[in-house]
Amino acid sequence: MKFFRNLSVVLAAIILTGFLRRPFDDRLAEDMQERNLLPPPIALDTREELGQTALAIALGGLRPLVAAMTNIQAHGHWEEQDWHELEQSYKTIVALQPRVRYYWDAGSWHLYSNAYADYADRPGLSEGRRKRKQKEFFEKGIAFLERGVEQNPRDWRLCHLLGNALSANWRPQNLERAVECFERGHAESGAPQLQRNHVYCLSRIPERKMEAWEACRRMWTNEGNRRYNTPQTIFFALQSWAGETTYSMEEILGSRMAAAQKLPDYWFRQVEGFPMDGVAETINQLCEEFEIPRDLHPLTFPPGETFDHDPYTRKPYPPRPVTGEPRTKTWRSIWMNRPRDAYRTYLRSVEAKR
Amino acid sequence: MSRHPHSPPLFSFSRIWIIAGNTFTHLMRMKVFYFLLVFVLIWLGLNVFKLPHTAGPESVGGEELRLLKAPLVGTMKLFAIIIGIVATALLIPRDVEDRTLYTILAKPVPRLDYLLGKLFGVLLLILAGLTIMTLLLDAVLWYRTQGILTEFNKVADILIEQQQWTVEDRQEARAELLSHGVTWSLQGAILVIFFEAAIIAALALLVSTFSTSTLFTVVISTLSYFIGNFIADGLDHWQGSSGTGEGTLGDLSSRALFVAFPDYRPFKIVDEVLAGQIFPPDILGSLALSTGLYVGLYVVLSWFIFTYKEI
Repeated sequence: MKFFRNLSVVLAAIILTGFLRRPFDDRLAEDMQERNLLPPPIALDTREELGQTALAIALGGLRPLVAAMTNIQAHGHWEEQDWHELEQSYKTIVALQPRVRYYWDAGSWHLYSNAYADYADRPGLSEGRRKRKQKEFFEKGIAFLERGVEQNPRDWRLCHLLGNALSANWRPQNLERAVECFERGHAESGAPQLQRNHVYCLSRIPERKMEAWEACRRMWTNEGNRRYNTPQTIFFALQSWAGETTYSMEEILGSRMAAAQKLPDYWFRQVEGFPMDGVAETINQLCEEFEIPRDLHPLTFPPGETFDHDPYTRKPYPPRPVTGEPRTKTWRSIWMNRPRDAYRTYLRSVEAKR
Repeated sequence: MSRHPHSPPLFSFSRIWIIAGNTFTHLMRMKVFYFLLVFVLIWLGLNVFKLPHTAGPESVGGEELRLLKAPLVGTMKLFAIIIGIVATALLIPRDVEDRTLYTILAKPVPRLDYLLGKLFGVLLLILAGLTIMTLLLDAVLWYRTQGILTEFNKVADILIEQQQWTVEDRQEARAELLSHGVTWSLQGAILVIFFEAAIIAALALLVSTFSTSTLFTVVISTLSYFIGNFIADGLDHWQGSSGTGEGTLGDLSSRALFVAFPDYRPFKIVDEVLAGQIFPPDILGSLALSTGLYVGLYVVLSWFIFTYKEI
């Protein structure tokens, strides 16, 4: 009897002190949650996916361990190119460790890039199904990363990753959304890299050229951004488009010789949609000024023109070794391979003579 | 000259220290530290094998260090929790079984001193185990960080040369990489694991004062640990989805159930520190205070039960 009385006293004391303690615990937990020092609760659907053992381990306070082990499992799915399983694994991982950028990055990259590329050449699929699968996984990857951005609004690097994923020219693009991501990331961090990316992306949208020029001028006020070739060349093109002459070519690109080196590289990036106002004319002028031989002239052909033979030697390209299909090359890839080096060597020799 | 019989002081550090020392030695003889072998095996394994993971050149090393820390810190936590529960659950029944308890209590040793001595003995054991494991963890982490830093410098040089990174980007990435190495935050997180073990050990001590079976104590303490963690995860869901109105009997009893178990929510900071977060010292202070309150409460209640216990 005395035992039960004592036990009741103990239980009552625990509950009473628990009620007294709860506000302190709640305040502490809220404070820690606000400072991103606590992981959010495990969602109900994740509990179902985890399985009993892993859930018990995760609930036992070993979330990083379960996440790390699931990540190793996901690596296996990647090697087997089992994209559906991989997606499930990463959903579980980010539910356990939502603040680890690496998991959002790796999971989305597998989906929007690797799965997308895998379905592009996976044998045994009809063209329609291939396209559907590519679209499906690209969208899944982007949605996954969007969720990461949403859950980590202060992590500007995730905005950067999303912007990059949406603006790569070898995958489906959403430049408008990419612009938003870079802008938001820059506003959050003030990182010059994001400001540059914002301008690059904006300048690729023909309807927003005016906005791009304004953003480009803002970017130009930061001396650090002027060191890089891409901001220099974009500034040059947009200034030509705006019809302004505030900065001379030498001020923007360094010197006429530097301009002769940088502008052809930029010219070949027109496939990415960059503005090309005044670029071709300037390259022609510079080639004339430096007496570039005809066979080294970068503007001999349009960048996208395709060849089934070497334009210099006239020899046909050998067929593809695996499929036996005839091989073609664009002027851009031909130029970037050998003639570009010869062109730059020639320019250096001209500079040395002067 | 007459000698007045006097009762011994209620609380004596030297007595507690002697009982704690004996408990520590007693547990050592039970080959508890064999657990360290498991840790060393994982430690060696992680040192030799590189766990498979996906990483681009920019994220060089960060994930590798995280993969190294997660199993090692996880093992440390398991050690602390298991020893905290099992060793404490064994103490009183063992002392009753081999009659040591009668020998001790026959002397002028207050029961509070006995309980505190036993608890501190277990905590000393956990602390010693965690200290050894922390030293091993820090050593392997430091060694791997140095290797990764060399690789990182090479990659960073290339990225800077390719104009993909600026010097500031490099500094920032380096700082992020180092945040996954040996840091004060990591040491703080391990201290929090010790705090958690202290709470669970004190709770196990309370259960063992009225329980007649070691197994019962282990089961109840383990369950309370899981429920405490489940509450941490489920409390928000419950608060959001509960249809019961304020002040109703159902609501009150649910609240009573929640508050009866230790709230492990704030202790989950360890997860975030392993993910690279910085451990603010003020939070460490709050957690120490919270631990002190829990341990104090459970010790006082254990004392209450144990005082009236017929031995």
